Amino acid sequence: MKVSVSSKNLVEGLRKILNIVTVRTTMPVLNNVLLRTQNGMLSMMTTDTDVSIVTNIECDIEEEGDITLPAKKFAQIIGSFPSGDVKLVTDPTMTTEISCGQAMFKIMGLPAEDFPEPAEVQELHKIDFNKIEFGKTLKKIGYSVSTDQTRPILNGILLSIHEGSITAVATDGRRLALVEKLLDDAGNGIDGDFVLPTKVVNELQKLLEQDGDVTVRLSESHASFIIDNSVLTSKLIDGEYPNYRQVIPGAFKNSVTIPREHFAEVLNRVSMVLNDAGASVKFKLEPNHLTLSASSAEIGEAEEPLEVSYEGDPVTIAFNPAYLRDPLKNLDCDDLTIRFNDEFKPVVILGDEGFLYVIMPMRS
Amino acid sequence: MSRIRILAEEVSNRIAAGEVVERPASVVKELVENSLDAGASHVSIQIRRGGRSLIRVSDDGFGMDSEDVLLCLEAHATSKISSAADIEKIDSFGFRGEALPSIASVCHLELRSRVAENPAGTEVLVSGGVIRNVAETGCAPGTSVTVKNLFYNLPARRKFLRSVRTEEFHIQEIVLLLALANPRAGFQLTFDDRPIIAVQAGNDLATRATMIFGKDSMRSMIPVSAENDELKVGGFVARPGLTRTSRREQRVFVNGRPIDARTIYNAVRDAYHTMVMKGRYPPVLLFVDVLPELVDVNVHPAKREVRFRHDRQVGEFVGIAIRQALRQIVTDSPPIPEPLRQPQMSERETTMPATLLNVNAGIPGRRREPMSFATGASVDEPSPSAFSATDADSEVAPAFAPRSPAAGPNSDRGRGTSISAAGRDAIRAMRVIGCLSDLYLLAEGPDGLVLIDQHAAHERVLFEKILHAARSRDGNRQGLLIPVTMEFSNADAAVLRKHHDRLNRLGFEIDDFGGSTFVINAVPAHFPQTNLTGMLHDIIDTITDSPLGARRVDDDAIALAACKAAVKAHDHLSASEITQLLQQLVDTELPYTCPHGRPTMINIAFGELERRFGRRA
Repeated sequence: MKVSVSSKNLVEGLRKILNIVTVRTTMPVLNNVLLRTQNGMLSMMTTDTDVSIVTNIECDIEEEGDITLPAKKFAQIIGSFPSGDVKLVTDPTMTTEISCGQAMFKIMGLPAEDFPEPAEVQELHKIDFNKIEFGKTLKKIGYSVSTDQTRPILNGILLSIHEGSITAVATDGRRLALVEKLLDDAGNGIDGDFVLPTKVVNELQKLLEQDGDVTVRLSESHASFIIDNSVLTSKLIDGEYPNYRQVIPGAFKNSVTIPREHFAEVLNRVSMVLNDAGASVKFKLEPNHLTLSASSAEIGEAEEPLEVSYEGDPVTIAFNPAYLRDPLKNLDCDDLTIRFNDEFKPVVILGDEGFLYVIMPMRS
Repeated sequence: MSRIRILAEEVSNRIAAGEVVERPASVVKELVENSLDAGASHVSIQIRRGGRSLIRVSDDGFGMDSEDVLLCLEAHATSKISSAADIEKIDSFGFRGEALPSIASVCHLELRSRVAENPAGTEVLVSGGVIRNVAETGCAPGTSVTVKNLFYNLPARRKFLRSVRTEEFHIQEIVLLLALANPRAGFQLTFDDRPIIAVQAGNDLATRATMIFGKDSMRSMIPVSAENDELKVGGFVARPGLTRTSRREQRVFVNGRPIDARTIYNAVRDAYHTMVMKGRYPPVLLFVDVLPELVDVNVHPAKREVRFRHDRQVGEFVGIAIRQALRQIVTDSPPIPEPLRQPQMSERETTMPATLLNVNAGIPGRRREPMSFATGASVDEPSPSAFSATDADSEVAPAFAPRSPAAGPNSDRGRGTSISAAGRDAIRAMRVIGCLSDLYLLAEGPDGLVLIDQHAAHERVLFEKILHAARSRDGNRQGLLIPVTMEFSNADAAVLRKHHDRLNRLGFEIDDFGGSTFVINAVPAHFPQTNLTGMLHDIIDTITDSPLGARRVDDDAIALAACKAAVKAHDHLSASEITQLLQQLVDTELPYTCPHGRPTMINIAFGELERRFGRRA
């Protein structure tokens, strides 16, 4: 392989794909990035066998070919170059000459044949989303994904497409966040549930920053996302996602509306006296008043009232403040609506359009 | 008159009974083994009042004619071996010919038996070892032995029988083991007519294994199988990650006999090298088949132990078989936690698959060489003496603590040493300077280097919180939006049921769905948020293995079990948690020791350091 490519494009391309590289010793080739000429472009790919990402960049090809190079080291070298053209020349002994300006490296690689090809996605469905909107959806719910390795199905985001709408859901069993949206063209009749692993969700968010469209291809077992010159492919998490509709209460007796930012400030202030992840903040509701309070034996107490619109009976509900902070931080709306029945049953928070958050109160 | 005389047979039988017949479960074991030796394809075991009032074992085996029926009640009468040479290759369960006479000498026994060819069977009634009546009787082919009023003539032993439930537990264990070891036979066990175990002849091992491990755990078991000319091993072992606090779920069978085999336990431990923490045991169910002449089963009267002729080879063979099975899952499909590789995962877990492949390559594991200033004691389990060969106490005890444990009667706080206000200030003033291998915090104290055992400290903090919450009934509980459904083994389900209220007081909300299914609706809020299933299993294990005996487990013991499990589940502490830890430790009542009485921190005084570096004589 003999190619010439701008260092800026290389750096940009590597940034997108480097995170997939895992430091594992069982398959040394996975520490490498695959470089190959394809359709007049330089194609770079990394994989951890579950998730793989390919990005194509423009280049001048003098001689077609392929090679794999240690990804982190390669990125480090390219990143150190001044802007200009980088020449990559591979010889039959798997050594690659990397040169830019006066600088010249010879780096040992591994043969491209050893590099696992990404899974072929047997496309069942294809759907386009606006990149920014899709990215925001993931951000609004991503924090609720469980990290409990013993319940793998909850370690991802559910994309549930039914009857022309898509619901993105994340839960760790204690709280649940979802965003529901109507699809254009009634979703082309797509019907199914797909659970995306957290790792992919995190990678996706980085690729969704600019305007434009992302094309999602879905199969029984895989999903792939085509974003400009990159394709991110991942296994889906196998298993049945819990019936999330069941945990959303159907009706509520009470409702409170609170300005989001002010509420977040007060919550953070009051929870300063807590020193324990298991401690709660109490919400005392009286007509038109909400008082947040917290206390710990070691530090002391805090209390702060808020004016709210509330007309129900006086009630006190306790929450884990960490579970409230997450949605407050990731939403855009001005006002939040909290709906509930009593201090034991699931409580729902509504904000941005299509967003819904369910949280179990704490009990003593 | 000479003082020494030969004991009457009746007496010697009763003494032998002491060895063979410890409790109802041992009677069940002997009788069922006889049934199996008689080629039974179905054995039914009926128990009343935990075996005190009735044990009946009926089979459809060969049966005995009237002559054999009487002979089998004689000591050392057996059909199973006939010459000394036969002892060399025993392939039946029984052979010493002392079980039935021993049992008969301590109960009212009714034996009915019929060989298929004879039109009628024989019935014998024995009480206290004396044959009362022999008669012809109508009965189905096979043998049925009924033991009533066990130990009626040994009041001392009868007094030592535990509760019905405890005896039932032991019986159930024995029958489980026998059912596992004998897939060709069907088993039916009832306690006071309640069906407990029912397996059909020919139900496969996986079905039978589910009875022991429960459905959930069984999903995390992988099959093992290997064979050579002399040895064969098969069964299931746990995927890395599934462990228990005791060896209770490590079941080993040698030639179909449940055995406590140190050789095999060690092989299991070595095979999981670096994948299992010290003091944790992966559940296994292993069947080792050895040529009868290569194993000596005549070591222990209850046959709980065996001796292998080629001990080392057996160990190695089993070890290799397990490693192969474990390696399969590393290359084929990732172990349970693999798919996502969360950065939050503890280092130990993430590196598991990698180290596994190195087992044979002799790459050193986590075991470290003794530190340079240790005087030769292993540092594997750091003990105070590792630091100082001189006056261990004065150098190593928390330097700013009162010397004598002031907390003597304060046992409800766990064992520990209380602290003065000055002591607390001293801890507050400590500056953390680093962390040693994810286990110990190093801090600069007023008097030298302080090492803090993160886990012990964490355990102390959690313990006081959990206990406080349980006592004051104001512990926060976090409701689960999506309740967790769990399947337990029958034995574990019984433990859970028994301590249900206590767990509720701690902040759990567990619904009993009957059978072995439970649903967790809420957990104590300060508990780790992950691996609920593993945590509950650990709590149950700790209760079961409690040295006090499960009967005397109280709220504090449950709190202790819970916090031990919680700490395990929350193995890896993040940086922010570490900084919080010291602050929280200062606020505990007994910060110097973990609830089990081990120290949370030790101090290496400047004087000690100076001596070691030769700055001072």
